[in-house]
Amino acid sequence: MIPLSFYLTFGVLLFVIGVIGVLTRRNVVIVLMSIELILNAVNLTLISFSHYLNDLRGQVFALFVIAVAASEAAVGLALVIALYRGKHTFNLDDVNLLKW
Amino acid sequence: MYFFFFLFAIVGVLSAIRVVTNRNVVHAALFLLLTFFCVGAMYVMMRAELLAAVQVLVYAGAVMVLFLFASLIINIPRALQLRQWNRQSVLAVMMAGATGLCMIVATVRAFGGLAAPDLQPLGTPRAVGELVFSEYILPFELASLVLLAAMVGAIYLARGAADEERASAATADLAAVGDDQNDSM
Repeated sequence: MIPLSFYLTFGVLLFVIGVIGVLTRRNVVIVLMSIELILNAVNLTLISFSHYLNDLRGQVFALFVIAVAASEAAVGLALVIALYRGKHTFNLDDVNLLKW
Repeated sequence: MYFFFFLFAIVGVLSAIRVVTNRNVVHAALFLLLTFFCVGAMYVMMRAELLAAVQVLVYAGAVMVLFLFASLIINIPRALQLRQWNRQSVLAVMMAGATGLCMIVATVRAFGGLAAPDLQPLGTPRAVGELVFSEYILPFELASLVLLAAMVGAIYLARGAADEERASAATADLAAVGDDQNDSM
């Protein structure tokens, strides 16, 4: 029916859009959303391989990726709140205390 | 079948582009929600029913609510007027685009002719549960530890100085109540 490369290409497109978001945006919350896009693309790849190899382990892996991604989003947003409380900014360009 | 695949794929990619290019954080969060639903629909097409339900519950339900609550704290009118793209944008888009093109070419050449499998049900909750609770029980318990650590860390990081004063005042009140009870006895 639908070839594997179609699903994988969709995953690659989501991954590339997420990477562009992480690398180019200055707003912290949108960078975190792009990281969620990247994780979704990885899940899509895992589940498409699990579908085509008739192996359930890809889906189990994707389940744990969802759990870790949710906890990482929670900690990241708590850091955003702490960042706003300290510096009153959301631009990643302003968070440069460790820069040489 | 092809119609549904292209529907969800095109809507998913377009809303992902709108997530990354939006000025308004709340609009970007709503487009991310649409992307999660499209990816969840893809999961159903790939016989992963439990994962599709978990995707909608966890990502669309919990992670999106988290993002929307966090964007309540952001001062949106002020954030809309700032510059949105940093200085490396052009180079980053070119490099990421080139990488993506290489990945697409590699996947099409490697997996282009893979035939469709038989359509027995695969990702039912019973089957995934049997695997998770027998062979992958250790990652399951570790995942619960990761979630606990994330919860404690997020609560601690999001507290402020005012919350710490309120918390220490509350414990001082409890200690005073304890002293009164000891004196009356």
